[in-house]
Amino acid sequence: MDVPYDLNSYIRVLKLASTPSTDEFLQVSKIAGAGILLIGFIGFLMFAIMSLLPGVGA
Amino acid sequence: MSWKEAAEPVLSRMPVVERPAGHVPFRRKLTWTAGILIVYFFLTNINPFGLAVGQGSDFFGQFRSVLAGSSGSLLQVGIGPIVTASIVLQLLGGANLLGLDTENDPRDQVLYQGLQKLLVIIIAALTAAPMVFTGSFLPADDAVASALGIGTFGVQLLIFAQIFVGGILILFMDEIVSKWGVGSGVGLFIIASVSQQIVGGFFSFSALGASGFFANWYGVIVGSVPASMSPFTAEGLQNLLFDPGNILALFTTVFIFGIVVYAESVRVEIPLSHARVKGARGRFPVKLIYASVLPMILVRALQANIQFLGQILSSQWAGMPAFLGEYSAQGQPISGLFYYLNPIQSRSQWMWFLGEIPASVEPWMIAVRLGVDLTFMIVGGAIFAIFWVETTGMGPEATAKQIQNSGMQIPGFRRNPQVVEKVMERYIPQVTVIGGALVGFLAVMANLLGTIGGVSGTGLLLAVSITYKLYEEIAEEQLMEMHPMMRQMFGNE
Repeated sequence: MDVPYDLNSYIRVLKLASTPSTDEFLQVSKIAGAGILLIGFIGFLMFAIMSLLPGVGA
Repeated sequence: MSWKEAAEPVLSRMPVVERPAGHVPFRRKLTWTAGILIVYFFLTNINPFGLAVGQGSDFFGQFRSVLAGSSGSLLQVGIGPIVTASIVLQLLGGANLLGLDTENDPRDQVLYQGLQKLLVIIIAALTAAPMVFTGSFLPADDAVASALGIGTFGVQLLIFAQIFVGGILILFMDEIVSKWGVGSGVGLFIIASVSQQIVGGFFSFSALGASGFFANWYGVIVGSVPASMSPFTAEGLQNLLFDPGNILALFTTVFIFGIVVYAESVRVEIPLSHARVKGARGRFPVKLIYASVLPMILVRALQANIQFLGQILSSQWAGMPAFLGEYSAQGQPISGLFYYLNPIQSRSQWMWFLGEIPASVEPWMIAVRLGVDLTFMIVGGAIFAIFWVETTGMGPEATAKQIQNSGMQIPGFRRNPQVVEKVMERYIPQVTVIGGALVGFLAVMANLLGTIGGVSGTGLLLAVSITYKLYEEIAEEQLMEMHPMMRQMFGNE
């Protein structure tokens, strides 16, 4: 892949870029937020259980 | 050509996770991924036998949220070795020093994968050794040493073996996820470690060692945490914004989240039409964060490796000259080359008015350090993004082939891979460079602000982006599962 050194071509590509609508933005936030919370809770629960159990973990 | 023949017997015999022979059903893929996630969390909570628990300091320090794993656990090294091996190979491959044709020659592919695995194993040993044998990162428990009668060195050897095995386990867990699960293992472990810290930062309570956001506020309201929260006095305002109120961290967590979600959805759309089905139209989106954010992990890991070198040098070399680096009692560089090369990881490292930075550090030194960090991340982000796009088959040539196989074409152009490639060459390189530089810039800005749970801003950025990418992959898998015809549409031959 050849990387162009011509600055104008970068500006041209940036002008073509489309930004998300409010709906899309909210949908992506919901999905990413829910995913992080879900995985985080699994990890947090396992951490809590394993550290409160005697003889396991720190 | 000579090294290939010499190394082939070793490299082609590295243990591998077997590839699934046929199509793996979607449900089974999810099960594998979830299973590995549980195993990962389980291992991060187990201390190596013989370790003096709670007395060491984290060797990775603030790089922890980018490198996954957990300090003082079996997964001490995290994904560090995998990422470092990947950096080495990307740099060698990008400069074409390996002489391997990984795109067309199956034998070279096997060699490349074997080489990568061998490197990971060597680097896992090289990372684990200084943690155990130098300084106080993972101190051995004297009681265990005397009970077993093998001395401190014997216990250290034991700890080293366990951490080394942990590093190897991560390597194979990553391979299982890539071959039998959804997404990549490296990505999964980063999300896992960052999300756990964020959720912990909100919900943790004092019985678990640290009070989280909600526990703090509960304490303030009930009155068990004696802190004035008045926004009208200087002290009250500080309490409100920083500890224990953490309003600023809450705000920046949401803010970084929003920016990353927005940047994630910015794209250049190339219109497509179907060659035979009239009226079937589509768009090929080239995302602004095209190369995703994985190259960012490589740049951060490069910085992390530089800092490890500094840590090892300062603990082993008493006569280290001051221009290279001076270290505080906590093992943090406070001046010299290693200080300027150390990226700013949280707001307490640059907000000089909080009085948390060492007295010898002047504001201009912070500015130089920030400048070095910005340059490193923006230039490094762009370079690694280009290497990444080339090695993972997202470049113009591969994309053109993919569009061709799906039966689509660009309206107004001949249906020919070379022609499509020419069009793609007008967009993909530019988008890659802009995206890489932008993510680098965002990562530095995010780090300056600090988040709930003490995750570095870069970690949060990675987690948001990888989580959404994982969702997209799951959705695509599910679509193909329901409509086998779609598999052809997506160009899987």
